[in-house]
Amino acid sequence: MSPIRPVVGDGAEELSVHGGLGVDGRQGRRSSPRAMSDFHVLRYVPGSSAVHRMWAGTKLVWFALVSIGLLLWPTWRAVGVGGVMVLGGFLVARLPRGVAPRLPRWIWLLLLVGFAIAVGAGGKPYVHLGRVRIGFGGLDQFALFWMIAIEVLALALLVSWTTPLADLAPALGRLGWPLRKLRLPVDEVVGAIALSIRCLPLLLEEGRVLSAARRARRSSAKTSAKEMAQGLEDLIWAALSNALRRAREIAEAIEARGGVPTIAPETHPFALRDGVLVALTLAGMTAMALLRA
Amino acid sequence: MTAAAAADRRPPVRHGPLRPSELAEAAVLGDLALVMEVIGWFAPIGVAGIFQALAVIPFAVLAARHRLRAALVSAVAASTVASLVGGIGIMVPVAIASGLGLSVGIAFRRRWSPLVGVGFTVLVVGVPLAALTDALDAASAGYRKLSFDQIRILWNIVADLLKGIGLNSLERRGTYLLNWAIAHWWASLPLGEIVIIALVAVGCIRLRVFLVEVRRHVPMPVADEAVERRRHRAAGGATAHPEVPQPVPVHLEHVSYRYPRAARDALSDVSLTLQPGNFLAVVGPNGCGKSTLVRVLAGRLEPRSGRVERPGPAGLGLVGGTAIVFQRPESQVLGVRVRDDIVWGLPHRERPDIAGLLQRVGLEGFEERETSTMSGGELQRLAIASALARSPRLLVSDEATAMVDRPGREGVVSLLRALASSGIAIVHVTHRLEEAALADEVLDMSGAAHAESSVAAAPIGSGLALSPKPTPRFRVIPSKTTGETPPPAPPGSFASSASPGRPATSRRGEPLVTMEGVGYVYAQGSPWAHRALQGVDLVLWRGEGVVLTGPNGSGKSTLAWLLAGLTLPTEGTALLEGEPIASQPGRVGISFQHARLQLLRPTVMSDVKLGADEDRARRAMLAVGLDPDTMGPRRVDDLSGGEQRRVALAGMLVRRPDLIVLDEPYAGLDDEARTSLARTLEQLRRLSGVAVVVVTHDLDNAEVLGERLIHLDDGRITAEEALPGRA
Repeated sequence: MSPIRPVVGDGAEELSVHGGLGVDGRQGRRSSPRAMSDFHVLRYVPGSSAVHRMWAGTKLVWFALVSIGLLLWPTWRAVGVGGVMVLGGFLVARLPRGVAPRLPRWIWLLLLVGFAIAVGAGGKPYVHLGRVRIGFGGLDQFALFWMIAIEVLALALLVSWTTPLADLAPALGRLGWPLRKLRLPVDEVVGAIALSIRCLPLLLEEGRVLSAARRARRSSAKTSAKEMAQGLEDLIWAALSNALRRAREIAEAIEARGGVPTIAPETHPFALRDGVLVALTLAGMTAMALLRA
Repeated sequence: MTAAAAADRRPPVRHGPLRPSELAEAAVLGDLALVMEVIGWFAPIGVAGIFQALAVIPFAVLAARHRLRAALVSAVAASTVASLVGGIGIMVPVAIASGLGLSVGIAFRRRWSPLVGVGFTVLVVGVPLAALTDALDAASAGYRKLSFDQIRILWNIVADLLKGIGLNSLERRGTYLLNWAIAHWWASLPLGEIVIIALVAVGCIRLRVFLVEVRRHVPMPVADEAVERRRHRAAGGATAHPEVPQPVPVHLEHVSYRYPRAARDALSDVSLTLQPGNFLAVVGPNGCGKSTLVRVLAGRLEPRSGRVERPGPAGLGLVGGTAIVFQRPESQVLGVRVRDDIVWGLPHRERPDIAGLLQRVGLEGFEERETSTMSGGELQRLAIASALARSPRLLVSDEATAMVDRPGREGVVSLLRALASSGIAIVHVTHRLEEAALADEVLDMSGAAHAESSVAAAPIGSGLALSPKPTPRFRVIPSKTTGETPPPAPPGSFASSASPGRPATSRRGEPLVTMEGVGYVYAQGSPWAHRALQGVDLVLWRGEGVVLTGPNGSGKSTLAWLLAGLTLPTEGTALLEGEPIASQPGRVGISFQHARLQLLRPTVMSDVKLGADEDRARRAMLAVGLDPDTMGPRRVDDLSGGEQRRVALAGMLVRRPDLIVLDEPYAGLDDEARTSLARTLEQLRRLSGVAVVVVTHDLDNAEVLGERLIHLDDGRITAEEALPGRA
């Protein structure tokens, strides 16, 4: 027998190693297993741009303030200000085009239905096309709503694509100093966040296997609503039972480390570019507030 | 309900920082809710809402099992991670689900009546939500206008519809009501939200049934009360003068342990002595009490009888104390990055020499690697490095080699040997006798084994008797089947489409599976694109046994998924009798390494007979060596990993597959269970004409499993050889 190279244990792991945190969402359909690894959650795209080198905390503040600004002053002017900031971030980060997530098909359907409703609803301003009068007031509101949602999502993705996962929790811990002064258990929460980020790939992988296992055992007969409800309950039970077993193992591992989560203290410097971004963000917020009228 | 059961609802811990089990469940259950929310986003539109509503359940379970502090930490952590994953669109649903789940779980734990529970939910979720909405609306006229315009737009459509069908008066009243509500938005909006939350809370009452099930069937974390009390005393009083850990030399004298409410001792009458620098191997099959012994040595359990003598406390996880390396590699690595994992849990003043530690375990230069990209063998070495960062005096390996292949195992064992020589006391728990050879002393616990409840060890042939009562009806042919005529399949066997009397392995006629130029790229077109397979040509014949092997990352698991039709190849074709495999569900069965994930019903029999009748299910269970009468009613969650794998196998057999794919079927099994599983597979193949592909890195029993061995490396088939067959 030929010699075999040193290998490892976990077969399922092999899939998660590079292919990553895929979720097959379209379980209902018969022949669409391609979607399995097309969806990525919290994945870092290596790079050396200014956005990449920035302190993770700065990017988190940026993300939080712009989101809050858009929520508080939802106007086209605010969307314009936010859009400039998000686009600027993307230009500086120079991310490859392939990072763009493939949106689920139903989003387009939803957009189409929403579009139809918005046009049907009418409202000022009106445009006359021959004898037909179309009101664009509804469409205006509809588009504004979607632009805000897209900008917030794009910013969240930009932050996660340019920040190594391991940097997120320590940065939150450093940002949490005012809460720590209030004697809130900031470190405990930050420890839980770090552990959540660490376990998310494991759970996504289990979700993927669970959904594949269901596909493999799907019966060809039509199922009644009651059977579907039963199937859903069983699925939840399987997921829960797995998660709790996983938690038990992790608890043992924590105990074997003395039981106290400590995040490696982070020492990332707060450089000039961080200061510039914070200043720009604050200026953007002010602009959104002033331009709201 | 009895007093004991009522006491169960109280969380075992009530004060102070989170305990490990609370922290772990807070993180994992919060993640589960987040995953459900994400799946909800990607599910077809009708199912999406269901998944998002289901995200309440993990939080409810957490709040029902643990104190408020754990539930709150989980809610905050999950919401934060959710906002990083997908912005406010995912954060808000997760936050609302956490609030709902929290209140449902607390109401359950405190045994409130459903009415009080609903009131509580409204108070802790509905009222804050209403207040937040009001605050947001009051602060931002723009936001108010946006949401009201949306409502008006929707109403205009309904109004037009009403006017169209002649319900003008209804339309007028509706418009009046809407105008009133918008004029008094500060009252109408919060009121509406509170009503909605109250309705949802009424719906959540049904969750209580679920929580009862969880409490009944999922054990609370093992917490030894004596140990917990001692820790509490230490935390309350003597923190200024902590006792210095002195785990060795340790002396155990007639030590026994029985878990609370267990029928028999998990560990009985063990005596041993361990000096610094000793290397003790503990061997024995699954279920003989090895893990309990580890817990006693680590000071996590106090023996019920007998004595444990050591100079100071065991100091589990403390510097200079006891360290443990566990079985499953990916569960014990806690850091996102290698560097984070090593310092995880260390006091800040400790600055370990990370590079030196990594070099010591053979992982030079791994500091910045993300742990999710490492192989199982590498993760076990990292776990040892993290243990060494605490300069332990006692290092325990609790089956650390069980999920690692032979070269990986040899590496870990020789590392343990070297550490013993440097003065650390080593305890290595294993079910492999050959690993004990390097040890100074061997403790054999096989006498204490409790028999598994399967009939796995039944004599060859009897397990295959496909009638309800096992009787040894078949003669076992001790030679290879190729070219010979195997015994005819018994009536009512699982002969799929192979007719009785036909050779099990037939190279005449059409092949069963044909793969031509198959390639697979994960995340094609994205920056994370990774090629797993390239140009794979593979033909499988009916009744054939094939062993697929290769190093980690060679693409063998991907190939298993393609063979099972769970994934479509990105290049080439994968056909089963001329049709794409993926379009013929049920003809190929796949067994995953973590079999629990593929068991869909709560009990063994109900799972196996999914999609078949009970008679077939019984015969399938016998065919894989499970007694339907004793195993049938058992809960799948109570079974060992090996037993779960057999149940999954039976669940496949009832569907009469033509091909069965098994991904790492041996992981975590002891020698006896491995031999018996290999025998079961061989007989299945021989008697029912089903082809079997075993994907494994473990070639110890390969010749029993098939005629061909295929090596995969870097996504290509690099070698193919005939297996010698059984002696």
